Amino acid sequence: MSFYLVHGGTSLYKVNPDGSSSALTLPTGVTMLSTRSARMAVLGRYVVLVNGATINLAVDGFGVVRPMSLVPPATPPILQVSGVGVLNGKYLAKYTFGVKNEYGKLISESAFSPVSLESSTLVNQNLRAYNVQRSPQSQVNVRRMYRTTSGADGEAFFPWVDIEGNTITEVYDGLADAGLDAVAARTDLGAPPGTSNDAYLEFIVEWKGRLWAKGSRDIDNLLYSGDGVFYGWQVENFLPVKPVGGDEYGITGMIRRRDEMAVGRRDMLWKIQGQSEDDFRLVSLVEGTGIASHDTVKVYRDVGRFLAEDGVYQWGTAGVESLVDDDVAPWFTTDDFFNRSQFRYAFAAIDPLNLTYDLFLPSAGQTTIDRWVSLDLRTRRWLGPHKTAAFTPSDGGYIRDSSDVRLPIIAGTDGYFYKKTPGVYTDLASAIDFDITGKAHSGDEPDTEHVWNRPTVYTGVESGGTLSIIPSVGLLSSAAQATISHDLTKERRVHRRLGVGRLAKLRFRNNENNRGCSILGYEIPFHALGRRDR
Amino acid sequence: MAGKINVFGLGEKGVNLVKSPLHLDDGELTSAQNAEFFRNQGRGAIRKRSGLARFNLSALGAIRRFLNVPLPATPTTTILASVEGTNTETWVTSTNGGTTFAEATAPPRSVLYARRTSLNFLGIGERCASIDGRIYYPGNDFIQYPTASHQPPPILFYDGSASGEVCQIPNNPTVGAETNAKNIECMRTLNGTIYLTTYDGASVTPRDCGRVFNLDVRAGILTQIGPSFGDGAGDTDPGIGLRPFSLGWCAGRLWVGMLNDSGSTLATRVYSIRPGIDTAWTLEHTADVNEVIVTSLAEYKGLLYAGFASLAAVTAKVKVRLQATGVFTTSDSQAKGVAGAALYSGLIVHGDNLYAGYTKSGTDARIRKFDGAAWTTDRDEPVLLPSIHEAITVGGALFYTVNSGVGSPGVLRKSTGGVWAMVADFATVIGSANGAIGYTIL
Repeated sequence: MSFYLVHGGTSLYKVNPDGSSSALTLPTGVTMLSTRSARMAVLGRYVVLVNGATINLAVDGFGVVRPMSLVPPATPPILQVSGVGVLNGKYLAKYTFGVKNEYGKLISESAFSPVSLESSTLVNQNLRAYNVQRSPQSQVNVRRMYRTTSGADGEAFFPWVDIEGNTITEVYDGLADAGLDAVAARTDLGAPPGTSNDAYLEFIVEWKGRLWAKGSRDIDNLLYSGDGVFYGWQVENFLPVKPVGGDEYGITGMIRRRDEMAVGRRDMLWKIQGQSEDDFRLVSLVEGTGIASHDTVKVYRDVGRFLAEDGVYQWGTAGVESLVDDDVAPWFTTDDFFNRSQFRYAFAAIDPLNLTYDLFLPSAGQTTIDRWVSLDLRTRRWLGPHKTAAFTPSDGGYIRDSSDVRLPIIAGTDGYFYKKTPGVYTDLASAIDFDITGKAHSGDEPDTEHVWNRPTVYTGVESGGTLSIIPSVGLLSSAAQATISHDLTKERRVHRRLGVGRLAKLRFRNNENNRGCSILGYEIPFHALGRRDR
Repeated sequence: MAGKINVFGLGEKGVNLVKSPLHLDDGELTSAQNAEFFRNQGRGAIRKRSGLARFNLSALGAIRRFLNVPLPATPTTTILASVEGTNTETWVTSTNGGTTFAEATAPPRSVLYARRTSLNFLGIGERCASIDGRIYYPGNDFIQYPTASHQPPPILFYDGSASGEVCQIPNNPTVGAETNAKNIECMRTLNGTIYLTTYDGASVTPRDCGRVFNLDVRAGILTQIGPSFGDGAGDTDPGIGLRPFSLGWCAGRLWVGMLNDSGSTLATRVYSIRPGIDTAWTLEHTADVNEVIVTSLAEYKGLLYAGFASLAAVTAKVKVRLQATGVFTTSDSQAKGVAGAALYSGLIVHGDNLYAGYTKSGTDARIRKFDGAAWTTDRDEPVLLPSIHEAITVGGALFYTVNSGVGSPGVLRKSTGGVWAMVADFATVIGSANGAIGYTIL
């Protein structure tokens, strides 16, 4: 059974399936930010968190929070001959800071310190390394020493000995070269932005066993970690996403599918090819369409959907396709519905039960996200915009409840999660304002005057309540007529005659609290009168 | 012309703003606020969307982001303590962080007090190793050497629901195929691996005092570390009556402390080895006469600390190994109560301190604490606390198994913040008892 991590205010919470929660203890000196939202990814048995705290973090299943990467030692060790032993020749050494778990396994390691000066020549002696720095990070509980074999030129270092704890600053050891680990020191160690409270990682995804991220400074570079490690970010492991320096935003999002990953700028998409650091490269996927907000990228059933500057697109086996060109493009290409200048703050969620892609946006003239629209993933049809009077949405997704069943939820700035509850028609004691408008009927003769007779409306039977039917008869610009009240306790009602005009349109609305409402259909008898000259 | 507009499946084609309202299909809408489409008896219908109800029990800070994490939400932390009565033994468990313990019917019992070879010293020995959500411990269900038809000691596992035998201790080939090891003295998880010491039983030449193994828990395979301790060909001879007992890890080495419960005053020893690298044990320390057991080993701030048991003529000590010289020097010593054997046990690091239990003659005891600069007594109730055994730290709390003042085994707990409390006293469970032994966590 899973849990979920929550960045709320200036805290990081672990919330259990039953809704209980606890604030997690952060490493000393680390705080969650109220000005930047956390972005998270899962690698192995850890959740990595970037952007939303003063440093990058890694959280395990027990809720223990540690730095994702460790500040490396700044000073080299000093080597000295010591005592009687079996070592002969000259040596070089360096070391890392590390964290071991309660079983003594190394779970995090910093980049290397500078390499020491060459030792003097040992003649059947032990090697002493001193001036081994203590880490400023309290989680560090081991310093791992590496050294060369005798006379080596410093190309290959091997694990030598661990200095347990974060206190003593020297070690004496006479381990023979033959006793060193046969595997040379790993080469993927390194500190990414966000290791200290300076530059940071803006967003991060897991793909093919690595983490991929964008930094806040070199905004055009796609960084990637070592294979299977969240703490190793070798400085050379990055891919420049062209055009470098092309705008002030750089990389704007990543789309992670099962076998492919795309990285986007505002107006283009690139695809990653290759299997390892040796052959990773970017190829152009599409130009003219990019990602407006990384938080709108959602992949479901290996199809990625995202918000671009001019609409919502999907990337699947058929390539990149628009999901709005044929129906709701005006939502994204005009200022009549949403504030397009705030698209980079939009976010989206997949509702796995209702199979919708829900996109959250600020309405026209607003900077706070107060609306969302829903794309039916089966029919590719849009409904909305939706709104609620109960809270301000801040994130969406799903969790698993205490029965391990997926539960679509929307997070609010009030600190609560809100679950979609079938059969309930209230948002925390606030009415849900149901409001739909159909087509303008013309009887296939839009230039002909019609008598629109008494409509029959079919609705689902409720225990009470009234559906407001607001007709408009005449031209497209004609004002609405007086509202017709439809008794929701009745499945079928015949209402008053609508009137005379070229067109007839019905709007349906119910804004009663705790009142469901479903419209099964309607019929409008009519007959034509003829065509007027004016 | 006359006719009828029939619109069913309203909304099934969603919102369309590209076409004019005049050209929409019947199922299309110009707006659909708070609406959702559902299938109703084979035809589509549009209805008010579902309401939104609060999920979490109390407000968090303004939520900015969340992530569903497909990892276990609340890993079970179960603390198990193996306790014994005169003729019975059972486990008691706690699932509330050690606040209370209750008798449990699982797993199968660990090796009985009467079978342990350190009887003269309260049957101490750290015998439960915890790793990756399982405990591994010596089982009791075997015929112990030298009883007729004796069997090899088994190693059992328990993961909170399932239990079973992992493997058995192989016999010491120096003696022959027909002689089994007598007991498992110590099992600990060190540097991510389980290590154990065995007592191989023979006390006359060839003396097969004991061996050190590591346990590959994935394959259930034991691998001997270094030569056997004994006086056979190729063995490392620690001296008559000495055998491997306690285990520790420091500076990349496995450290083994010897036990001498032969009744002689022969000093105990400390050996070290690099598993998989060294082929021979390195003698690191020979204690003073009358210092007969290295009871417990712990690494604290990079240095190795060793607890000793002493015969009546000398005080028991905690010694620290100086890194520069390799010399073991006294860090703490206590002398209290009437003459008799005294011992330190259960060395463990908790918080930023090193703790050690001290027992004098099995009549009174105290818990000592070292902050890196000075030792102090952290708990001292001699009437109620005659002896202290082993320790673990879990969930921010420190636990010691003890023999309480009424002669029954118990569990002492020190919460985060520093208050000691006896959280379990099993007089009512066990009746008169010989003392609690060891415990671990899942």
